[in-house]
Amino acid sequence: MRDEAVADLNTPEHAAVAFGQRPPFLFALLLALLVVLVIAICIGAIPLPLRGIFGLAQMSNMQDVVLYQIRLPRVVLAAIAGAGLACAGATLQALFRNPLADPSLIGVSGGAAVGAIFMIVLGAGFFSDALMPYLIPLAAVAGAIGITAMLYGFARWFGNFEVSTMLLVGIALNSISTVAIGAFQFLSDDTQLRTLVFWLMGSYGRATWVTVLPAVGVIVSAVLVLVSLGRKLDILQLGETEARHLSVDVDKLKRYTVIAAAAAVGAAVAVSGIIAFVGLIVPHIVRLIVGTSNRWVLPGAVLLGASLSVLADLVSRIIIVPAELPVGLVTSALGAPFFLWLIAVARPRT
Amino acid sequence: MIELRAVSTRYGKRDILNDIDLSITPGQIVGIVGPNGAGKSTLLHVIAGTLTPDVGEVALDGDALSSVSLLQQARRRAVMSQQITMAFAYRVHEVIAMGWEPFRELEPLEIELLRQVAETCGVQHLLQRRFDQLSGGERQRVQFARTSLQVEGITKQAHNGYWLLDEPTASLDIGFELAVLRQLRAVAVRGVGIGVVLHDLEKAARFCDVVALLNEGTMVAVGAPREVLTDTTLTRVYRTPIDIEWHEQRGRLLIHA
Repeated sequence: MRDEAVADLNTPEHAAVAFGQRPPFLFALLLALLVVLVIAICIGAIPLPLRGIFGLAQMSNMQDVVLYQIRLPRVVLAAIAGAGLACAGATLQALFRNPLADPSLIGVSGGAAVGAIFMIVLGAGFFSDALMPYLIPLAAVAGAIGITAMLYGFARWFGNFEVSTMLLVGIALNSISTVAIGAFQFLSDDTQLRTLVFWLMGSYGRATWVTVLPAVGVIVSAVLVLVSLGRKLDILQLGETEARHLSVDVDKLKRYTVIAAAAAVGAAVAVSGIIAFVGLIVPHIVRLIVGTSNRWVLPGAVLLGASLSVLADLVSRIIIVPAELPVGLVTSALGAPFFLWLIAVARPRT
Repeated sequence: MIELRAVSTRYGKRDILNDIDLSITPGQIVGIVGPNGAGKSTLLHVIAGTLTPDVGEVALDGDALSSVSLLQQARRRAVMSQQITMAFAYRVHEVIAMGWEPFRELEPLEIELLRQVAETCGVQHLLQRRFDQLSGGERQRVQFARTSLQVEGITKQAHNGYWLLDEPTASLDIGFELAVLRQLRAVAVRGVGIGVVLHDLEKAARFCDVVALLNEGTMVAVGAPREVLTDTTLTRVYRTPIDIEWHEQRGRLLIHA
């Protein structure tokens, strides 16, 4: 379908498409997201009537509570976290000019996890429980930005800010995060450990409006910034020097990308734990649909990331009723084989 | 005019460029030649502003290059570096269109202009192909087309324009090599100043107005090809006996080495 769309540059109607103008595909992704959202809201341990959720039919009090206090915050969280992770993944792949880049690969997810765990384990003695829903995401975003700032600082200190240097430093920082997470697990008591393990597997299960709304604010702002950088990230694919020769301020572009991506990942990790592979898989599927240009890949990743994340959560809710799988296990089960396949096809070409 | 005054650059303790003076005037093709490792690419990076010299000045139309914004630089000169690889599956037309980036805010890219440039550069049949699946020579022609589109934008702005190229013909067969050099000549006639690193001395003599011969980071000679490319100089610089012969009727240089 894509190849047909770009097959002929010699007719004006096709030329527009060939120039990467792909709103129809984005529109389809948006429709798909809306359908997925409605399905995910209706299906669950307590099914909700389709007419009821649109206010066309009377619902019982219990159905109202399920809809507004349980189902809706959870679906919104799944959508916004998936959108944030997928968009951050796509921009990091563009920034590192590496199809295998992922928030977890360069240490951003790890940094966010360290920040959140730090607050869960050590903050409990200092702050009241009422403050924790705000402090944990704050610490996670701080952790993600902190790690990314260190990444930036190291790379500068090494004398150049080449992408490969940054990637290697990211791998090293990731190992440090692993050590810190292990140490905090060792320090935690039994109840905390249960929370940590469940959280590290990734779950949207404890969503409440109190935890979800701050994440929505952070991720929406970060995603708006990232989507606006799409065209410049395309030019960056020519190389840093070439991008400068075409008027792109590469250092500024990197700074904005890194901070916005870190904020999106930090906010997502804080409320849902580490949901692996969304940031890796979604951008690749989106490229098959809308083409390579980040002008369309980034908004596409937002829409498809939200859809797939909500679907994965739906599967985790209904696959072993009445229990629930952590959604991180579902995405990893789907993502790991995909990752292997990607490694096989993305080997460096000569 | 792009002007270099007393430019030196070092890498560690090693001098890469030593006290270089050079200028590129609009309408002129300046060929930068010299043996491997002479500092040709480094010199081009300095002219392009990618590399700031440790000593000396680079000026673009009278302004210190470092004081000219990236956008203003990009609206006045295009740079074609050596080989480029891309990690994602961009189509050739997308890559060429990137050359319009500096002018996007001034006017939208006309599809007709892109097609024209692609045709002039002999890549019109590649427009729908994936850039990452092209051969080395094809990629080089696409980069040539991309910077060529940028030059089209520059000449529309009525500024003095410049086009800097680092061995634009390195992977090309003789047909495309001559096509590229003829196109440079045609663009120079329209008033664009061209600085081009070339390894082929015969082609440099045939297509350049000025030849700058570089050796071990030092400018050996700058001037008209006939004055610079002499038996004694070339023999000394290339460390191999070189005999040159000017074909008077055709005004061409022949090298016997």
